[in-house]
Amino acid sequence: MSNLLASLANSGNSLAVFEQALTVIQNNVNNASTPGYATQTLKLDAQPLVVTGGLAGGVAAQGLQDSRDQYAEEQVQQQTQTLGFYTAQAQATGSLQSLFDVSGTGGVSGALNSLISDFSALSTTPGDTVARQTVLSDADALASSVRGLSSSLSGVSQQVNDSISSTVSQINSLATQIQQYNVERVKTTQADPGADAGLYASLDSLSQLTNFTTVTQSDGTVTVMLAGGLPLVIGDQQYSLSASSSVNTNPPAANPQSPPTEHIVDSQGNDVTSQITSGQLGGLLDVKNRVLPSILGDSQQAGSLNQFAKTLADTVNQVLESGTVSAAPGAANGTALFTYNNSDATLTAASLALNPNITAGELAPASVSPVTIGTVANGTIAAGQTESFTVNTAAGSNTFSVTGAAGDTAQTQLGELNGDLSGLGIAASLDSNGKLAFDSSTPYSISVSGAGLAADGDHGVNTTLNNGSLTYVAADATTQYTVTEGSATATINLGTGLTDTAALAAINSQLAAQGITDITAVPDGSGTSGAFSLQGDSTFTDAVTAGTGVAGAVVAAAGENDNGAASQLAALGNPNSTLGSTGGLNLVQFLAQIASGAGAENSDATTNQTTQQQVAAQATTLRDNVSGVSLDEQAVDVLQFQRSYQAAAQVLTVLNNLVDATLNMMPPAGSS
Amino acid sequence: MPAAFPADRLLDAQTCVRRALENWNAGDLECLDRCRGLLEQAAGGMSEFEANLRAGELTPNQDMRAALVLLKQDVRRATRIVDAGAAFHRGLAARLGSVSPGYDAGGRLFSGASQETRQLEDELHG
Repeated sequence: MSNLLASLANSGNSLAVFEQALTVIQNNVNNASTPGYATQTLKLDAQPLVVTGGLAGGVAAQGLQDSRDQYAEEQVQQQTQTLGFYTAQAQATGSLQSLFDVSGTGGVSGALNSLISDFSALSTTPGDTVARQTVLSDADALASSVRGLSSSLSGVSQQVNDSISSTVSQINSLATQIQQYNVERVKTTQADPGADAGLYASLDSLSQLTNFTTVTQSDGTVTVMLAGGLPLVIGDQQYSLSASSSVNTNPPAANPQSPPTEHIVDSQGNDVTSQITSGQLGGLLDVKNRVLPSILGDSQQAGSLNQFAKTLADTVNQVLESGTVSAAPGAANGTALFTYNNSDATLTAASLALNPNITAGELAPASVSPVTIGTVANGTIAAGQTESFTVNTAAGSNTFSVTGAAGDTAQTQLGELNGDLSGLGIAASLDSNGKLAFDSSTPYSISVSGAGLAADGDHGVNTTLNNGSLTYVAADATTQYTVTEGSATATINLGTGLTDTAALAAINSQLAAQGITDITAVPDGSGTSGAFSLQGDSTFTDAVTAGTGVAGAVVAAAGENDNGAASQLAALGNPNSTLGSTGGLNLVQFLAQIASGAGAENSDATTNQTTQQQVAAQATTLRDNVSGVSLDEQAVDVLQFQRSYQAAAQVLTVLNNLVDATLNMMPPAGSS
Repeated sequence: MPAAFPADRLLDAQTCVRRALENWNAGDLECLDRCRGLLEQAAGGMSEFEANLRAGELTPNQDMRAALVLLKQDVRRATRIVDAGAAFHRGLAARLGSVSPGYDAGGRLFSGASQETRQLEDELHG
């Protein structure tokens, strides 16, 4: 009877155990979608059965067993950390990339192309006020565009800063949840599946934000550490992180006013930035501390955008300041087009501006270049003839003479002439037409007199100038000028008693009457009454055919080319021009390189993100595959999977080698 | 089916690698074997493509270069996925005691990852 009662009691217990098992299964079903939840099983233990000894057997519940596989969990967390890194990097660099216009029609590159076109237009009409004004207005637009880009990049930098602060807050908040789990965990002897689900959900979220490792302690609590061993949570202690911005001073800052670097600091105030290498925070720090400084600069580097702005301003200013406002003798040097704050290399782009003091009249399209002033008869100054040269520079006036001697060659006399010119910064040479030419990097004028140089003994007669100017002084009643351009010839007889304005009007009117509209007379800039220059954009000849009114015969203007500086600047976008070259790239190419660099960062990050999404999904699949499976079952599968992956890896190695080999046989990118 | 034109072998290889990537299921052995078959097909096509190039039957051009660059990207992606899966199973095997961990000449735990993945890890973690 007692056995029967024991059996009934035993059956009752067994039913109770199975009821518990059913409850566990029901709980699993209920939590199928709960983040972090792992399937639980009720461990069942058979009870001793000794029929003669009074042990009735049966089954007893031995607690819940978690199907979670720690190794697979860590793998998923690791891949999620990497995914978080690339996702943050792709998002932040996407904002960067969108700021650059790669079409060349908008943004900084469009504004730069407009300015270069303006210089090109100015080189064809150097005296045109509208063309000059257009240069000023487009230079202003370019400076504004550079400042705008700098400001937008700083805006992105600030957004990244905000994201870093927000991410650090999220990390601290998750660390608090884990710390609270630990506090509760030590109070109980058995794990609570619900609490565990919360813990793993927190760890999954944390793995999106930063890299870390976990260790489960014997009391069931979880220790969370960053890569370098920096603790985030140990038992019931939480160690908070914080974000701070400062300019690096070790090594000493070359650019103390540069955008600050972002640092992550632990609860003791130690800089632990280098330990954050993955997760969203790692990606944001990478963009903030590596990508953005390469463009905007930091304590040690100027940044490519500042480098571009400085090269642009310095190059344009140097050409314009060494040029002259016109080709007339004594014309003033040009004024700088751009200004910027040069107190710190990282402030250039943000401060680039049109020089507020420049006017259209102070723009210097002209430059000093060789001026051809005479024809050397038979290549030499005739024996016994003397030619006098008066050279006027800012330093004063120098006169010297060269006398022809029997047996002289042109080179002999040229040597003599250059000996006299030495020290004045002017060099004489014979041009391809056998004419005497002078070259100097500073403004000058030369007047020549004597009988030895020009074939007909009258300097300026039949003198051909390219885009040049000749100055006539003191018009009188009998002096007659002829100006010839192609087949058109204007004969100008001014007479006496004319005011400067009337004389100018008379010359230009008579030129125009002959259809010569691209050669005009202008005051020569010397301030001398009646001293005019003829300026033109095409080859012309002029001649004084009679009279005594040409003082000093021909006076060559200070600089023959009235568009030299503008032409130089028009070549800024020329791939072969060395002007404004940085690392072998001209300004347009350098700007394109900055834009393509930002694009490449984004493209790499996006590609990595796409791949990592698949890798992370794979890790989740593998985790789900191995969780809850017995070790024996796994051992067989693992070997099969290993072989399969090994085979795939070998095929990929072969495929990769074949792709490399065939790529090497292809023409270089961009070639035809 | 062999490609009708030699240059099509390159496009076929590209299609095979793409399909392998799209159908990749890390936890399904049969699927993995099918994907490996696609990769082998791609390697076979590329081998013939290379032979055609070396024999002068094809003239290299920019279109081919562009297609190869895209294929290279896909191969890199596939390599990283396979590396990650292989690493997972190596770790699992070590945990189960079915293999012992190896060490490289520097005394570091041998990862067995491809150069592609090692470079990436260096970039990521310095």
